[in-house]
This record gives sequence, C-alpha cells and structure tokens, in this order.
Amino acid sequence: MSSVPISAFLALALILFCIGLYGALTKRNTVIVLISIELMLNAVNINLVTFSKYGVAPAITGQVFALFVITVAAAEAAVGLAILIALYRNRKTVNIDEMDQLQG
Amino acid sequence: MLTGEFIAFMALALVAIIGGVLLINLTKVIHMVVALVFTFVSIAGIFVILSAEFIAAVQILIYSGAITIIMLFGIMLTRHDDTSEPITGKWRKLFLLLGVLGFGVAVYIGIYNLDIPQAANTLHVDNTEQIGISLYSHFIIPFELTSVLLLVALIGAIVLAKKDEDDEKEAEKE
Amino acid sequence: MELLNLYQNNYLIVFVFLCLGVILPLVALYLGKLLRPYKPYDAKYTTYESGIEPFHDSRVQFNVRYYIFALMFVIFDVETVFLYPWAVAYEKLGIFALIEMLIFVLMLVIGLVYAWKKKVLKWT
Repeated sequence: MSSVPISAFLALALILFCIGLYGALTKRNTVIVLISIELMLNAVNINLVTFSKYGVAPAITGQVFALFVITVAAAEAAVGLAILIALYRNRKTVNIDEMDQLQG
Repeated sequence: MLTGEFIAFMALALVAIIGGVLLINLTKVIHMVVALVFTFVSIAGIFVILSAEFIAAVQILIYSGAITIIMLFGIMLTRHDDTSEPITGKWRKLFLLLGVLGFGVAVYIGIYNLDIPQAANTLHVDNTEQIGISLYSHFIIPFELTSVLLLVALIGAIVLAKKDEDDEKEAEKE
Repeated sequence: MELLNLYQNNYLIVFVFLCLGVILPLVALYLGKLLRPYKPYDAKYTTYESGIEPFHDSRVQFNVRYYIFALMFVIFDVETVFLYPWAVAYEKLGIFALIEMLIFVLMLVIGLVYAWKKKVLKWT
C-alpha cells in the first residue's frame, strides 16, 4: 500500500530526537538548549502522526495529540525565554554552566 | 520500488537531518536558528506525506513562524559574544555522545524490522474537519485545559519579562 | 486509494511553488552580481564615508518590550490554530462547540485584559 515502511519514519524521528538530546545535554547557550528541546518534541510529533496513519488502529487521535504537543511546546518556549531574560538581567550571562546559584 | 512518495520522503529526511547536524555544529547562534528552520519546514513535508495536512500547516505556522521569531527575539535581547572556556571538560562531551549513541542504537534495534499490517484509513479526506470533530467532541477537557495553560504562560511570561521596568520607574521617582 | 494519490499529487504544485520561491531570489541576486561593476577600494568599505569612525559594537541591547510583543503574537497564534478546525467542523458540531469555544476565547481575553492593565501594550 505504501512505499515507505513505517520503520523509516520511526528511524527519522529517532535520529532527530538523538540530535536534540545531544544538543540539549552538551550546548552551553540556553537558547540553543531550548531549541534542542523543541527539536525533540518535534521528533515525538513525527512518531505520533506516523502511528496515527500506519499504526495497528489508524485514527485521527494521534494528530489531535500532536496538536496539543505543539501548543505545549509553544507555551514552554515562551516561558523558558522569559525565564532566560529574567536570569540574564540578574547574572549577565546566557551560559547554562554559570547558572549555579543553587549549588551551595 | 522507487515511487514519488519514497523520493519525497528521502529528500525531506535528508534536509531535516542536515538541518539538525548544522544546529549542533555551527558556531553562531543566529545561524543555528536558521538551520533549524529548514528542519522544521521539512518535518512539515513529512507530515504531508503522512496525510496530516492540518498538522503540517500548524507546524509551519507555529514552529517556523512563531517559535523561530520568539527565539530570535530571545537571542537579540541577550549577549552571545563571550568566548569564555566551558567549565565542564571534553570527556563529559564524549561520554554524553556515547550515551546518546547507545540510546539510539538500543531504540533502533527495537524498530528496524517493525512491521504492522496496514489497515485502510481515510485520514486524508477532510483532514481538518476530522480533527475538528474529534477535538471538540472527545477532547473537550484537554482543549479547555490548553486555554488555561496558554493563559498561565502569557501572564507568567509577562510577569517574568516585565519586572525591571517598574523597578526603573521607582528608581526614577526617588 | 485514488483519493490518496490525488491528495499527494496536489502537493506537487506546492513543491513547484517552493522551488520557484527559492530559485527566484537566488537568480535575481546572482544576475545583479553578474551585471553590476565591481571595483572595490578601502574608502568604500568604511561605515560613514565622510563621517567619524565608528568605535563601539554595532549591536545594541533590544528593549524587553519587543519580546513581550513577540510573546503575545505566539500565544494568540496558537489560539488561531484551534479556531480553524472548529470553524471547518462547525456545521457538524453545533451549539455545544460554540460554548466550548467561547470559554476558550474568554480565557485568552482575560490574558489580553491583564496585559492591557499592566500597560504592556503601550509603547511609551
């Protein structure tokens, strides 16, 4: 029926998720860490939409859930950047390894 | 079997992965965001292949429109020209790379010969209307919770970002 | 099955437009580069040809207000996304969906009123 196997979509989502995970764990710039998290959420969306079409029981639910994930991602990006701006105002840095005030 | 769908998938996947790799490897923050726009747009193409027309439009509208804009504003509001050395060492990076690769391989073993018998579906027929009916008859409570979440995000972000101006005004008064 | 093929073939037009959108500015810029004269010398590369030499970093700190406007754009953009499927499926959903959507819009109007009261929308 379809020429692209389901595992190809899942593999693409896996690769993007791994790139996002690596970026979120190693980058020092907080903006890039936030962007990497967005990339991971996007990879998850690919999985949701793939299973909504090629899963055991194809249904629209996967797409609706992807819509919710996108909404939460947008809200998360907005609040995350607001926190970054508030932090930058106090510490004059965007590097994530210098924000260690709670480290005692 | 080389069909148009397969060629389109390969091209879009290639662009998406190149965008992701550039995101990790470029040095300037603005360039990273531009690389990510390519990834977002090609993921929208993948959604079209998966007959999720509406999600593809939303992806372009929200991700490559709104989130990229807000990230650019965040970059312009802060300074990114410092050259200080990272506190954490090189070994940590290597260790993390190995860990992420291990995770990737472990999941890939699970999915590489996954084969689900395909059932017929009609997701591509009136996609937006299907989403609308499902969203407003089965998912009412999540939908209303979304509105609360957006309200909280809006107010919270305004409170966080606006703090200094009141302080400045008070400082001027004194 | 035929409908699916039709659906996918419709996107060929989108692809053609995408290609045109990428190629057009590239060709225009390249043609301009090909046609214009190219005679560089040092004086042309200064910022102000007959003014003072600039000595600071050209990047200025942007006002936080820009961020708050971008933020409100994002939030209301997401709201618009939820309005589309409601509008398309309205005929089949009826009055109950209208009430749902009114609650949804009311929530975001509260946010807008809050922003208004906080004088976020004013520029001065």
